[in-house]
Amino acid sequence: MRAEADTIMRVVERTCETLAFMFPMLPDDDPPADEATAAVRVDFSGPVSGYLLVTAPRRMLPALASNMLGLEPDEIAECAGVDALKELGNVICGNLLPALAGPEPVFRMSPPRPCDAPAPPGGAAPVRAWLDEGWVEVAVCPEGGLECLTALAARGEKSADSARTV
Amino acid sequence: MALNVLVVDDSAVMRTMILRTLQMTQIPLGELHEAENGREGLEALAEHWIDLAIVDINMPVMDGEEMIERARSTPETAGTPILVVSTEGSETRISRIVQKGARFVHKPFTPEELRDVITGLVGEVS
Repeated sequence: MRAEADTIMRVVERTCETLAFMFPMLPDDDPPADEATAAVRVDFSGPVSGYLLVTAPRRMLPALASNMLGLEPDEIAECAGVDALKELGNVICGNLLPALAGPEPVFRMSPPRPCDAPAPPGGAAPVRAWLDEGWVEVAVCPEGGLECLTALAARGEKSADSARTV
Repeated sequence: MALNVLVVDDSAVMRTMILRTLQMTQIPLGELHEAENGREGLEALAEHWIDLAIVDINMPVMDGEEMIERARSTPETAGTPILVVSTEGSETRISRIVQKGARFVHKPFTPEELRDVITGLVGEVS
């Protein structure tokens, strides 16, 4: 699971950096349990179906929207923060699926939607990236567990090897 | 010549990001149109003269791949330059899109990446 967690962290940090100009920081203490958060969910279907949960502190959303839209925080409508988090979730999901399952499988992603952040089911330990403006937590929840996604990548590599041998 | 651009993406945040990036380039811009899905995108293509369509893939109602297929099979829009800006990571699907004559930029993109591809695309057309 360590390799998968590293992959998730790499994708989340790169996406936050490129899309929202938010840069990785060294891990901090756990955020306070009562910190207000917002979460979005992106469902995906294909050879493996499931969903991705992206959670961030509400206090970070104005900066997220401001950075993504290139506007001052006081020019940002309140709903833009959640819209920005939805787009962040969409881009993270689109980049994570091929990073975990390999470049061949075709997945269909549903539009991101806000959700109450439930604890992810067993086996999908969330990965938290610390950023200069706060943190982002991502949980990948495929049906059958993370192994089902990574098995697709292993199968793809095997068939590529066989093709090279032939 | 000012360029009329259509941006088709179901995310208002992403449409704004793309339009702001366009405005940062030195490309002279004419009319800027927005659509939330492939069906609205085709309607905009039918109603307006569009020099460049920037299209997402994963959208509700009609996805970008179907929109491109339909645009390519309509004589008036068959030659419209199309740039796909998407999170799509499947090489299988990207290859299908490129075979339909569209360019591809992966999200997340830097403003410079988007600018360079659009500049190249516009240069080839003009």
